Amino acid sequence: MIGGFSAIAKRELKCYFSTPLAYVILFVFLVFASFLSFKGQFFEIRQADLRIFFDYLPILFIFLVPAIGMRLWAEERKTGTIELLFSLPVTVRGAVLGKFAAAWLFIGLALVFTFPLIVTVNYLGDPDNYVIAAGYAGAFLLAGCYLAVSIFASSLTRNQVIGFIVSVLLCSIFAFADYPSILNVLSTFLPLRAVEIVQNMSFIEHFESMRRGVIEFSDLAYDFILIAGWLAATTVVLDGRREA
Amino acid sequence: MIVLDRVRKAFGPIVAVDDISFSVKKGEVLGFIGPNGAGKTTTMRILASLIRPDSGKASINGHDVTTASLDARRFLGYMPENTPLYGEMTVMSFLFFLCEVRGVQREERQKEIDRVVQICSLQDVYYQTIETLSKGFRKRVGLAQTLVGDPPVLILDEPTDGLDPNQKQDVRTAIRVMAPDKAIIVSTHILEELESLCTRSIVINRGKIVFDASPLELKEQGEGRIEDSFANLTRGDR
Amino acid sequence: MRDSFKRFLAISFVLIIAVCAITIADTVGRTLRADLTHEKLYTLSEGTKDIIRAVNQPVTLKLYYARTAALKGPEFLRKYNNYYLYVRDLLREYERLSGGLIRLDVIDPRPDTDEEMDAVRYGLQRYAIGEESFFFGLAVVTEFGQERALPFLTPNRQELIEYEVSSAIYSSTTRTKKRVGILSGPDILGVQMSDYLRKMLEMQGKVPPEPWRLANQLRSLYEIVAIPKDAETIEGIDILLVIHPKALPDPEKTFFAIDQYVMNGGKLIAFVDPYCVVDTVNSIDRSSDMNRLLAVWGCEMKSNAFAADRRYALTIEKKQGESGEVFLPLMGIGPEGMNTEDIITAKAREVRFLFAGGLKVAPPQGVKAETLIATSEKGNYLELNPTDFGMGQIPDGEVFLKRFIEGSEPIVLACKLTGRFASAFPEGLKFKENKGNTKNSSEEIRKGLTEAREETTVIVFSDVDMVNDFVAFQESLFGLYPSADNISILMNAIENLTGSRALMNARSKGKFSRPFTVLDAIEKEAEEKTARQVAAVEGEIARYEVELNKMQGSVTEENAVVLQREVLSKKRELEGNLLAAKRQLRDLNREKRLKIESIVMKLKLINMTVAPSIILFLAGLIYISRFRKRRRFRRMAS
Repeated sequence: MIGGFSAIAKRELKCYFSTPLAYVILFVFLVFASFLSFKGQFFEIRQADLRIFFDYLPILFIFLVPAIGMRLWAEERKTGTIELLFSLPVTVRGAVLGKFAAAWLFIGLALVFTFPLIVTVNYLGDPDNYVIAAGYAGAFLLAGCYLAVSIFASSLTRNQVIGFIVSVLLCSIFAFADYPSILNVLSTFLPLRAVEIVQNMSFIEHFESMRRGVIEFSDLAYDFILIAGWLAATTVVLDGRREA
Repeated sequence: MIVLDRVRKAFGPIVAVDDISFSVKKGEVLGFIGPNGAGKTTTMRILASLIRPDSGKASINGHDVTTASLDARRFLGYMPENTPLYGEMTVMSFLFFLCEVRGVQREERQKEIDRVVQICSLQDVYYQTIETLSKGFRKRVGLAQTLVGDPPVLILDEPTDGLDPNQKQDVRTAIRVMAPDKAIIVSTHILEELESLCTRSIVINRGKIVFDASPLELKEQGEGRIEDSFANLTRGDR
Repeated sequence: MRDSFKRFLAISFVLIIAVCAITIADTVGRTLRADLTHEKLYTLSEGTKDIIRAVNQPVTLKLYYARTAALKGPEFLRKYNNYYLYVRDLLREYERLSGGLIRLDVIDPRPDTDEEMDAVRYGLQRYAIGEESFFFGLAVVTEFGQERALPFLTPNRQELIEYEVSSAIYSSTTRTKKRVGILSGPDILGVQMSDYLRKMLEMQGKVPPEPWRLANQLRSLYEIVAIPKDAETIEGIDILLVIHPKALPDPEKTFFAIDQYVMNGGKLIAFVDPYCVVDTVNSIDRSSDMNRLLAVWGCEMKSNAFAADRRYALTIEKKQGESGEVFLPLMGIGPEGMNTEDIITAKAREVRFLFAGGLKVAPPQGVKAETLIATSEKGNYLELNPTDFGMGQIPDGEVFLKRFIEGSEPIVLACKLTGRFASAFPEGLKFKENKGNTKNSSEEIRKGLTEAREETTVIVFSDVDMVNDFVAFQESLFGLYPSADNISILMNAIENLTGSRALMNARSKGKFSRPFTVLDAIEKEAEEKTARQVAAVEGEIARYEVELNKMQGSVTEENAVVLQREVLSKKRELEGNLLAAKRQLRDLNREKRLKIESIVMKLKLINMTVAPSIILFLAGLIYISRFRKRRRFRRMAS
């Protein structure tokens, strides 16, 4: 009830379940998640872990998360319901957080639905389930980062498609920030220290240790600061609407 | 209940609202009229905390819309232009959502919704998704939305726009029913509506108030024809 | 305009704060972490902590990683980048625990700089990437000038990194050379002399025994102490190597000395052999064993038989130019035969054995036995038939191939025993003392410890040839070089046993494999079912191949024309047989494959359909419930 947070979160979550688009996205995600894992030689390597699944997840998220996040503000702006929403006793922060929480939970649900993989590795071998749990926690946080970026992109435009494209772009930049080819381009005009900072911004790098089963304070801090930062930026953008 | 004091708002070089002051008391239904682009919607949006005024003060129920906007909005039911609604929701869940946002206690929500549905005659479409509704029903849902939680101030931006005569009549009846306990601002450019609905009328042109009295007086000024008087007021200096 | 600028500023501000906060958290918060892995893969072991605590002088860890070069390199270097971060964090942990004595320097050596020169000087490996050179190694430098280097770090060896670093720190900070005692049947140490002197002597016709290359390698790292074959007591050494213990003047006495050495907590590495090819002591009986002691301690060597395994058998060239033949007694055991959880064998790729014996491991209570190297499950013993070795000649590979039958369980070739051993001489040693040459030789009993004072470790290898130049080294244009990891695992073992207990506890950071046991079991079951048939067919194939080879060998230029027709038809027949047998083998294997494939297909199908169908089901359910509600309501309303 803080600034309409829970009401908005509930409403958004309900919305996901009453629109066919959300089901389509879930469906596609789940099919691809298992398909890519098997294509990545899950059964050939024969290791009872979800390494391959977690390898592909950051790439899948680049499309999944913006698809879920794109409508959050763009749709409100397009249909004009944003007027209605902000004439109600809700704060911008409450609304942003509420929408974020709903979408995040929805992605969490998408992750929950990958449970057949966990069952499979447990049936076939003796996996380290703590490591798997840590991996899922990391994946959830990773999704939060992607989502914070997507929600920001969504707040910039009234066109969902543009919102989607912008967030896919932003997400891929963040996801692949630690790829040598990108760092190489950067290092031609940035000092090494700055390149290191860029590398440090990479989503995937901070997902790395969690999926190995190590929870590091710095990774958690990264995730939460990043999410808070993008959400704050979203708030600023939406707040700015009142000025103009 | 609604107070505007020397409110001014400019968008770049265009001054949309220029030094407007007025207040609306409980029981009053203020008809807000003026040509397109006169600043009606901007004024209303300022009152709904959607736009911050450049200068001046506006308050609802004693709460300033810039400094205590959350409190101000608590006492406000606002119906934006074109009645935007969450199309994918059913009428029921939409109204429940509003109950929750406006802080209606959990136990009282059903009662509150029943009341609102009664006033706006939404029984037939209660379980339908909003996007499948006809325009008349959409307007009524838009109106019902402002009533949830029984806020003392209603601001309705063209509530009868695009409806057929019967539907207009329904909406007007609904507003009239509630009028005695509330301060209401209705914007319109249907002049006859002023007479049938409002207790007071304000004509606004180029961001300035050019007339503020009862609709009757407005009619008198135009020698029995509101249209003439309106034309005089808004075209006179052109 | 001003508004949107303000907005832009605000957003930039928010993002800058976020970037700073993340960077700060990253540098401050690296050490705060919870290791959830079952094996605690990312936490320093107690052993390492002990070693760090024992460091008594400033040590600098210089981590060389060519970051700039890596940025320009190909995509696969990403793997190294991640690993670099891991190693850096691990080393920071060392730094943190050392209380200031250990310092970490992270260096990015750029081409043509002093740093690069240093890196090369420390012996780090350099790889050229375009104009840049790629380094990823660690140099441990102490204040007293001791240096140890890990030339190249690769993520494939992640499980060993902690041990390697700890061991480098340990060996660079403990300065004294370890004393290695050697007790051997053949003269391994030889006579040390300069090459010049040796040549001089050779010219005079006296050939002084040349030391094994192993001895030279040991000398460079340790102080070697030759233990005489009739030693009564063995002491003052850090570790004892017993190599081919035979031709002892009084075996009981020597074994008693070894026994007592171990009872006193001495560490022992023993090499025994049922048939030592390079034996120069006795060319008829080339065996040696220590079963007198080992039987009590828990690993007896089977005599008169050697281990063979078709999987690991190597091919040798009998004569120049001839195609090689499979020679079962010579095995190159690959990584699958190594104990990857023990530091000694964890990184060995191949260890070669020649006529190796088999160890029957049966540790008594209180002794922990750990297999280090073993054959595959299909390994089996072959009888050492004296008639095969007429005149000390090594027979053809065919002789063994014909006799070989696949076994059903691995044969242990090297094993590590740890514990408080019981003495093999509980009654002490009965001493026969010859006083002069009178008949009344009196018996005296010398008592020793009947149980070890403390826990110790004994490692047994069932082959002697494996550490001889003949097997362990290979001739090449540039001189001898190690043909396999034989010497390096021995060095590992010495390092491991003479290191502090702490070092031993700095266990291998097990990259424990977690295989699909269900699939493995299915495979195994299928294999067992067809094992006999497969073995028979495989035997047939081997026989055909040998026959074919022999036939091809027997054709010379002179008899070519005469034999041609006969040979050709015989050859065709053999080839036909061979093909049929191979087909049969394929069919047998197919059953196993089909079983696995069907399970995999089923699982794939389940995985790909279960969750999506639940989603579809849910969507349908919600749709229907909405529809129903509306209809019910309409009915009520009308």
